Amino acid sequence: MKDASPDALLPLPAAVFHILIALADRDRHGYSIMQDVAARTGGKVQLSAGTLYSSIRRMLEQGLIEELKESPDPANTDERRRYYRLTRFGKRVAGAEVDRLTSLLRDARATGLVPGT
Amino acid sequence: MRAKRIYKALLHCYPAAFRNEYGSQMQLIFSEQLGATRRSGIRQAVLWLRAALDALTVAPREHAHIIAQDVRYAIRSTAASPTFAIVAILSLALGIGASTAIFSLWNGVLHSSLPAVQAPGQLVMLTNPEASGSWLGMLDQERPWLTFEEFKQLQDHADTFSSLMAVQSLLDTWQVRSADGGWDEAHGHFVSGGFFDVLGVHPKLGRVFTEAGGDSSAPEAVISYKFWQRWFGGRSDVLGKTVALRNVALTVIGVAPSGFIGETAGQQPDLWVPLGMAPVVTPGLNWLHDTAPAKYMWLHVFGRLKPGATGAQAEAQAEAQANAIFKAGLDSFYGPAAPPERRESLNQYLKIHPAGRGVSPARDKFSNSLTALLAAVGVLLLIACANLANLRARMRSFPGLESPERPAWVRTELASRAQRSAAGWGLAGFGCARPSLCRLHGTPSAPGERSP
Repeated sequence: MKDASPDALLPLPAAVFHILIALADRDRHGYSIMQDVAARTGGKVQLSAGTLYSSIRRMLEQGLIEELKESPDPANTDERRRYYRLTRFGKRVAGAEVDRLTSLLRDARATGLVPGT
Repeated sequence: MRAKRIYKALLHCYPAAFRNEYGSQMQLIFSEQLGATRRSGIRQAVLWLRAALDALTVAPREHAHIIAQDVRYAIRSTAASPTFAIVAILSLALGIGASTAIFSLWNGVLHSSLPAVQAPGQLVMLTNPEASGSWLGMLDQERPWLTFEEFKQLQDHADTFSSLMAVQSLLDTWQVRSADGGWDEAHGHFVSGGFFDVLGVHPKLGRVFTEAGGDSSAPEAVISYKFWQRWFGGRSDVLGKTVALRNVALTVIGVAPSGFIGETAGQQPDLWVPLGMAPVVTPGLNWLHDTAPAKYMWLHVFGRLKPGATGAQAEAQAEAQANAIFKAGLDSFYGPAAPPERRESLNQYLKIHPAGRGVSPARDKFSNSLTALLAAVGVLLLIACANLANLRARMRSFPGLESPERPAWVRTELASRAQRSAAGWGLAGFGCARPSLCRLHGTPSAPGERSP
């Protein structure tokens, strides 16, 4: 899947895109991803554990993210935690999704559906 | 702790592979969320609601994903080594097919109850369920069949039974002719008026003979569901039509329910005709009267004990009464006035047999050979499984399926995928079972029928 074109995965499911954004700035474990998504959206999007790990399972298969063998934070020694990192392919796919949404927004503005900035 | 146990139980909605891989993480998160909402009952309730909703929506998607992967894997592994896969699949299909066919036969002959019969476990027989045929002359020891007069004596005097019925032991084969002149071969039995009452069978169409109607000699017939379909095309105006049987035109008064085959395992009668018609259809034999020097024994006798009379003691009591009536009849036939050689027949007796599985002369005869055959096909199935295990071993070395870059749970899944795909191929086995059964029967098979 890593050799596939990012466009083949578009449009991304909302949960997958949120997880990609959460992992963009640093590696995180599952609960941290959930908290980050909730904080960024002002609590409007709250991923459930089932949705989160179902998405993670699919993203691992698609090569969008990878699981880390060790905790990236030496201060956090909780071995039960499993951390995930965005892959280069994941970044390309996230970028392609951003382009798609930007283009969509541009079209909406051009038609006057939404006011421009 | 209780909340954790409940959540852990809820995780069983997810596929095992998913649960093994992510279950502990999900439990960890749920514990943290539960801790964060400790002071708010409403937030806890919302948390539980979301967990339940998760199980209802995400879990089915995960199951679907696993099934889709199984199918893809099965196709991919088959394509990787088609010859070997085809051999393994065929072995498995034939193994399952043969096992299913032989098991059906074994179960049908040795263990199944009579189909479409009410409470077959309560049926008893006063004749030998393993005997089929008739006898004109003298017998000794246990009586395999009864004469019509002996049956009538029991029916009139054996009050330990709620009802008794008699049926011709042999399945007759007749050439029958329809009103439009067409000929066909049909199988049938002469039966007493209580035949359908004792078996607890209600007609699909029309009416059946009843005990209250007695053993009439009216030229009537009840036809089987299959004969109705074959001979009359399942038309609803069949009642009142005639079927010519030798020199008699029998009027169809009813159609038996689908699946009903009567009292003998493995037979498929087309017609049931009143006992009283036997001398008319086949003249020359003394069907209905015991006339010295020989009795004509041709009937199997079935009955049900009175309601509430169950267990060995009740059966022993009924058997004793039946024997008392039977012996009295023997005394008058073979008694002091008879020549000495005929008095040897006085040692005959009746024995009560459970009759829920019906009459089956083949049961005793084929019991050992069928069990041996079942064991043999079991071994065949094991060989087929061994073939498949070999296929799995080959597939595990197939490039790309065991990549270390794959998540652990995917690798685990792949390792057992060939086994699970076997279940899919196994369905092909059931496809093989049906024609095998038909071939063993020697007849086309239909729903509701049973094996001989």
